[in-house]
Amino acid sequence: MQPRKEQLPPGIRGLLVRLGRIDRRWIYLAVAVAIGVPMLAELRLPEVPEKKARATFEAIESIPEGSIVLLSFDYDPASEAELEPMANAMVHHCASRGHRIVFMALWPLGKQMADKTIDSVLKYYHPDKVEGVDYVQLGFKTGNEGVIKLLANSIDGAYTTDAAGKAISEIPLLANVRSVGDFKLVASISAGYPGAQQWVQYADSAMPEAFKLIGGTTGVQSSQLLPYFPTQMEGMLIAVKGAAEYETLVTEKYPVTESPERLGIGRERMGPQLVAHLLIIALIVLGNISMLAARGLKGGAR
Amino acid sequence: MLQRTIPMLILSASGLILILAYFSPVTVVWSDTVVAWFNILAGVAFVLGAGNLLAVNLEKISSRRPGWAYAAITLVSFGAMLVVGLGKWGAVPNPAYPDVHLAGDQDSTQSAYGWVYEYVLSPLTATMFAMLAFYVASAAFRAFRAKNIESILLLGTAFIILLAQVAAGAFLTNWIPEGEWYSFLRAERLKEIILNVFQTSGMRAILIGIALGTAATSLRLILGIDRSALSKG
Amino acid sequence: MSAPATKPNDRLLWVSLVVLGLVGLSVGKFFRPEPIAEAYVSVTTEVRTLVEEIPTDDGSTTATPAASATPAASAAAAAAAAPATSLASGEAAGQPADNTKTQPAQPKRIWVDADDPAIELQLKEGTLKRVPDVAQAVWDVRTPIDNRATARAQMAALEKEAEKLSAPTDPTGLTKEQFDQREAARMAALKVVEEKRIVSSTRDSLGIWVAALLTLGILSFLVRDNPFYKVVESILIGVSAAYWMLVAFWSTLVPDLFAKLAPDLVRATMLPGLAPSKDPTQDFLLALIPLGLAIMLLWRLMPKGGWIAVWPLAVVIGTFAGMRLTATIEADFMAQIAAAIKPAAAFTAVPPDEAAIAAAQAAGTVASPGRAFDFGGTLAAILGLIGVITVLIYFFFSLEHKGVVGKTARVGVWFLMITFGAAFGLTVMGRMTLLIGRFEFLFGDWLNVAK
Repeated sequence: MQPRKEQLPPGIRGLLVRLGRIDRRWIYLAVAVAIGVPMLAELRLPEVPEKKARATFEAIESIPEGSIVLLSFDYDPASEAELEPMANAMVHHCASRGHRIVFMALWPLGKQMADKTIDSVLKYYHPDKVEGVDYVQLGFKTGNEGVIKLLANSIDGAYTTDAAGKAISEIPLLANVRSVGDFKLVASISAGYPGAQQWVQYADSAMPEAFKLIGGTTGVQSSQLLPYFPTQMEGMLIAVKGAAEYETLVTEKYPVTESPERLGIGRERMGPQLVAHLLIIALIVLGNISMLAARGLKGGAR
Repeated sequence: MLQRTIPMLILSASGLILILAYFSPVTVVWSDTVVAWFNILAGVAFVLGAGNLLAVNLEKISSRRPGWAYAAITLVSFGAMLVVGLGKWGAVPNPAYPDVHLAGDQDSTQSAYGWVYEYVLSPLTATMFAMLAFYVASAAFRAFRAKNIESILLLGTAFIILLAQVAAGAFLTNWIPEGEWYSFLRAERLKEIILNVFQTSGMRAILIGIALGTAATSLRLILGIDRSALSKG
Repeated sequence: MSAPATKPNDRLLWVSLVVLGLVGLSVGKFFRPEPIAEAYVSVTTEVRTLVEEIPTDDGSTTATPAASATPAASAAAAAAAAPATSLASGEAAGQPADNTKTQPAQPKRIWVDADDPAIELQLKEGTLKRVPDVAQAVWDVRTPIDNRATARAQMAALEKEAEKLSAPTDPTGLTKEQFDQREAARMAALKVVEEKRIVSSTRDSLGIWVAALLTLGILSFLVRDNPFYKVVESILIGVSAAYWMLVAFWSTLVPDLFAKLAPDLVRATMLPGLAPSKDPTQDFLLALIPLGLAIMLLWRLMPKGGWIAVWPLAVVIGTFAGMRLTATIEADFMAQIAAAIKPAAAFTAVPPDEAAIAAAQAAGTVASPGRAFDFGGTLAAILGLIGVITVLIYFFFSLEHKGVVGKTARVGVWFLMITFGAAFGLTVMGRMTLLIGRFEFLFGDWLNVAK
């Protein structure tokens, strides 16, 4: 038996109710247009760095030139869009400051993320940096926080070779590095578990005064990390906005002339981001207006 | 005995060694050894997961359940990737040891393994998560209803954050001068207040609660009060 | 809800999507100068020669830690079968000396870049000697160039340079010596230019096409669940399971387990750079435990006796519980309480006023900065503390939420709503960025319409 056809009110009210029941594929199309059009139009807007990005910048600037820093790439291609800009800017910042970088990863695909940044930023803008002396890629180890726990006591408890198979004892950069406490700064660019939270829990708690800890995080994970700033984490970058602000600070102090777009990815993405946010707000408002319009109808408010 | 008692003793011993190492530096060597075994077992868990996938898909194919063709595709791609990755097919030789094939580097797109990572695994993983953007928009339209004060608070905060995180917030509130008592209404100041005061305190309380829960559960496991973790199934 | 005939509409949707795609691609192909999905690589040729370190006159040598025969020549290198190639763990000398006075030390053999001036000098001086009957190892390294415009510009510049250098030197007005000199310089420069190869990579272009089609396959799920999506999903499951297993194998199992159980075999076949252990026997015996636990864990896949997997599981859970207990109490409990109990009255530093400066000058000291009451900071600290306490009270479910407790819990709920509202805003930001990243790939790397 056919159900009775619902009687919708006439005029604008009926239109609003119908709009509230729109097929979700139209919403998907709206999202695609909201992101595609600003991207093709190359919408760019200036970024004003705020407190957290400044704190992150200061953390790297304040340690002595030539310090050894540890960068942990705790993300995978699923979060690359948010975290690659901050990773690129951080590596350029450390290298420009003369810091020597130790790369590692707690996520299986994190090593590939680090390799991408090394190839596109470190080798490109700083071709004078020598592997083994100015930077080293330790790679990934299974064990999540177990790796951090071992690193807190000794590097060679966790890593016997670097990612290319060279023995740790043969790497000049790590000659005087016994444990994570010997780094002046540890940065975790993280998308979830394991990530910056585990670095706070297992490394920073073990030796709170030994090094500065900064975290670059996705929007989703940032809520979890906010309580750690600024007491346990000295710097924090939240999502692509934090990345864009940090990029502004880094490129202002350490500008590059060739291919500057590698250090501008975050700022590029803020254009489509603006339109997407406005769309979400519009959708929420429209949904609520439709709900109000549908009040009292037999089908009820959805 | 073998299925319950000994595992309980092993669990308690491992846990106690880790806790003891926190208080006594002398026992750190034992705890590091146990953690090193933990890390190796975490690696073996990946192998177990792959083995389980093989078993499930083989069973699906052999019993010809609906959708078994997709299981076959899964197995073929699994097998191809395994062969290519274990044999390091097309790997760039290690400059220090070019005669040792398996010492080569297979992470660049020059090797088959690196090619599959760059052009199959990476885009697929990224796209799977990118789909969430569409679902978030659809959910925002269909489910976010301001029906009571709590939901109004939630939506209002979401609006402020959404606007303040992009240039729109600054555009809307830049006319408010700095240095006045009402300067906190500027978008970036509002965002800082929401994040640093409200969200931080809320998440802090949640973290404290989780920490207490974790500590309680860990103690129950180590003391053998909670045996559910080791029961079959 | 009525059940409309969706099939004709869906078919129309699919057909129009495909037609739109084809039209877009054709327009792109014919109206734009640059091809779709182009990829460039810079190719360099690496050459390594096997040399022997000649011992110095005073008899001090660096003996090899373990001289083991390598397996027969692998496909990648052109090394002929050497009877016994002892593997070094580094290019430079510096191995711990193992002075065995009874036997003569075996000379260390290493692979070096013979074009390196320092190595050339050592070969000339005689401190390094080329090992005869072992062919050089030659291979190409292809490095992707991500900026196409730069790659094309570099390619054009190299082609122009090569064309210029290919023209023979004009001998008019030159002596034979000068002509020979110029020719030699031209040939050397031409060799350098020819070695710098930047080529269009079909392998990577094909890869971009594959990635684009797979991306569209996943996105097709938004229209409707379809076989194309299911196929792509199956490929993802298979490839990612294998990839994760391989990453775990090469990064952890080989160096941390197999290298301790069979160090010589691993050094010969997989990790020639592995440093010798201080106590191989102790390492071997200790490594038997994780090996046993690993076998027990994998036994879970067997039809009988899978219960034994509970033993390694007990190690994992016990270690996890022990690690987490102390870490969360310290970082998430004590440190968070300390951070929450901020001073209720906040002050900011202000420069000293004139009276203070004058008084300090009279006393011969420097005036210290003053303090001003920071209303905003104080309010923030008090609000933060109220937030933590009220939310904790809300989560205390063993107390009935009535009366004072009920009202406090309600305030806690408001704080939580603001927390979750902010979390939602940040989540939306995160998810949108991920989609922006994929669109950048589709429009930029694949279709070449955006930077």
